[in-house]
Amino acid sequence: MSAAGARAGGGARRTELVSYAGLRADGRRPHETRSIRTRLGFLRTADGSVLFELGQTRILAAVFGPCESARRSEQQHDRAHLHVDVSMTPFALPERRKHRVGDRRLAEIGLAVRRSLPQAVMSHLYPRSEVRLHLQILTSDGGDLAACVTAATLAVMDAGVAMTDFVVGCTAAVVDGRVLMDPTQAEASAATAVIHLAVLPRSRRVVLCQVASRIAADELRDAVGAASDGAVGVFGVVKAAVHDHAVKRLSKRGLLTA
Amino acid sequence: MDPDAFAALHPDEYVKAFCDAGARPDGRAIDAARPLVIERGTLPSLPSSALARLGDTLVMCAVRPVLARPAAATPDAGIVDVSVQVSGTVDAALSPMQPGGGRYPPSALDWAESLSELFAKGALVDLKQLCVLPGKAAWCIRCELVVLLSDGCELDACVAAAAAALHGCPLVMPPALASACAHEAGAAGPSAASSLSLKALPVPVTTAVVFGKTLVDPSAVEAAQASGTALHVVALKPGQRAGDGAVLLLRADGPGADAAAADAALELRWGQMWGKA
Repeated sequence: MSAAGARAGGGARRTELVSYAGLRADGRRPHETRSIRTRLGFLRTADGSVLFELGQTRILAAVFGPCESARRSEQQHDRAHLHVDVSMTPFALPERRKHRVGDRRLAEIGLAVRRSLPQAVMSHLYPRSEVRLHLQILTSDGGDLAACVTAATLAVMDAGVAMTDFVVGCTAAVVDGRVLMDPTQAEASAATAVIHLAVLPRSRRVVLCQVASRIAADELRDAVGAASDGAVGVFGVVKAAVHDHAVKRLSKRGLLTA
Repeated sequence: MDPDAFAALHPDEYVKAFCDAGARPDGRAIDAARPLVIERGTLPSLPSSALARLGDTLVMCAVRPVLARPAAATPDAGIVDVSVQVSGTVDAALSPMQPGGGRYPPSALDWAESLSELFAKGALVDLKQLCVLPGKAAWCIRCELVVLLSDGCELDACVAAAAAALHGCPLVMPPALASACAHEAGAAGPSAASSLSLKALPVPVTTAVVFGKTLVDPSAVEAAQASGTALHVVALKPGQRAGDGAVLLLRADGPGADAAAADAALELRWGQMWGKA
């Protein structure tokens, strides 16, 4: 805490991210996520799809498969191969820039999804097949990685792929020694450390934890705790969304009697 | 044989059988277009955006005006800059899009060129209206489209999304610049906040000649068998007949698609696009 106090006092003054009343710029309390909206089955021709909104961060995820691998080299004899592709629209960020296919930020998100999703996907049920997952970041306002992980889970579920649990992402930022749950881009860029977490919410098992900067051990513990609480909160919302969507879909097919 | 298997193995025979019977695979009449659904303001964090859904074709358009120095050759005109990108959600393995085409396949560049023809040359957008201070500042309207799903008539959906997002797009100057403009140009200067309005309200429609029949608004399956397609973008006024509208853009590919067949669809679609505007 003392190190954080010195940082806050030493630097040039900037706009306060947390007011005296304990509220953030968008009116949230420090341990509160942004509002979540999901539209499952957004893309009709994809096997599974979702438009996932976390505040002003919007991710469109589409899943094709499980189907036969297009490439023999990627085929695995005992489980399904998960192919992840992340892209960003030219209007996703406030300032325009050229997005190359090999963008490192996007590659990192792809890698995080590829690492965390197989922890819950029962890929051994689909040997020699392939699940193609496309993530399109429509607009970005912090927490892209976490939102991509959650959106990927929802899309894979919508495609009917068997899973043991949800994989839910949440971000936490340490700003002046305070932990902020689910930071916006402005908060994340002012933070001393940003923690990306992917959690299996029912067991609260952490499947991915990414920190890109130095962080004190007690701050890390607080931040991981906050992010994992956030993930459980997000889980409640998306679980209800999946349930509603499933009920709607089943009753449309006449498979559900009231 | 299973109809889906037949469609996959002999797409030409499949479509021909329908055309010969005067019907279409998705159950539409020969001269019926798919409903065009426009959702405005889909991305509230951006100045203006629109989502156009044409059957299973889905296009998102975002418009962001920025102030820039006008081009030296045209000091009193603004700029409209259109780009089209194909999203990864259009799965290359399943769509008729060229495999391995990347984010900007040749077809997307082609669509961007047609859209520039329509929106950047002054036919629909008054470029003079975009000028703030001659030679010094003008609005550069960045109109960026992403094709999210593709099932034929992508350019129609692009035109609809771009027109919906551009029409009524707010042009708000940053306060510092607004006061500088007021200082420079006096009371007659440009207003700090205005909005873009299109000179005419356009409506696109594609017709395709498939096995001798003229189909309106072909889906991807039908378009793949077309001997010729033509895209008409027509400007209509409320209550105006389709035949009387000014043709803003005509893009013909191959011989002989007739726009007259699409007149009824055009009027209906104009209502779908601009009925509430």
